[in-house]
Amino acid sequence: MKLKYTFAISEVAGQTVAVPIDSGYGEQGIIKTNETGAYILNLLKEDITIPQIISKIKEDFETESEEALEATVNKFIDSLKAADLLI
Amino acid sequence: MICKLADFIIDFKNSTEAMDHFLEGYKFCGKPQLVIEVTPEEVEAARYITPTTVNTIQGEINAFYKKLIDLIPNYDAFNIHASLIDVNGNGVAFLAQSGTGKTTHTLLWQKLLGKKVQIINGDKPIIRFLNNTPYGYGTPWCGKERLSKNAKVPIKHICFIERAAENSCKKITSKEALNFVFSQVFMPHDSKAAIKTLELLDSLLKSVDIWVIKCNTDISAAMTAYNKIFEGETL
Repeated sequence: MKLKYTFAISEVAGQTVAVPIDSGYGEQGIIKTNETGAYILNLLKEDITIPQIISKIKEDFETESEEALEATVNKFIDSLKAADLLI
Repeated sequence: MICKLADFIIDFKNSTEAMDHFLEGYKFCGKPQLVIEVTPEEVEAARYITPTTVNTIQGEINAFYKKLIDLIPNYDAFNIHASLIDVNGNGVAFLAQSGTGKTTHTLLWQKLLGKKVQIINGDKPIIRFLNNTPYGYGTPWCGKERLSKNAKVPIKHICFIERAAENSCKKITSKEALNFVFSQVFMPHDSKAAIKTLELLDSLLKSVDIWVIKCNTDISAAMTAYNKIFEGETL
């Protein structure tokens, strides 16, 4: 899976945001996220699986338990799917 | 045609006579720092940006605009959808969803304050940082009312306009502004320029006071907002 749109990710007013850049004004809304969310969104620019995402996070972050990490990633991916942002 | 726009000297290369007419108020003699050129294919594609955009000159106007917006973030500038006024040297930008009445509100401020107010741009001002100060500039892309002046003003206030029966004006934080601002910022299609635009937006929100103005169409709407925003200031 990967992101359906191209996003610009940056921090604005202390909040990490991902803003779609495919169609002019960001009227289709933005994603407010955190450091981990931004990391996952950057991974999703290329085709990737959930196990691969989890593996990469474990390499680059100090994480809690495997179960907690899986739950966090799955919840984030589900929210992206619900917003129809993945293909 | 060579223009001076947002303190950039820009060559709008191979522009048509009709485009030159559109840019007329910004014509300049000098060596260009930036060159923008559009292809016939880009002009054709830009004709259909909105349902009402049907003629070739509008296509050329839109195509040059898109190129400009992709280019200027590299020079600490970006574009917002706003009506920008100069109130005795203080830039006040009104942002709103289309159809909310930001032009109406802008004209109420002009009616209230007379010569203290100059309308810099009615639709698409450029914001450019010079020495860490955000300046708002007039551009020829200024909406159907053609409210524009070839001038700049340091931006001090950003106001989000909402229609309401009762007038009010409330200061909000930059974090609260995130709920309103993104739909009014033109994001370049180039990824690097888009990230730079977000960085500039962050700097802008840190540099100004931010307000939500709830207003009707009566002159008292401008008075309520003006009195709150410029409270204690002598203009």
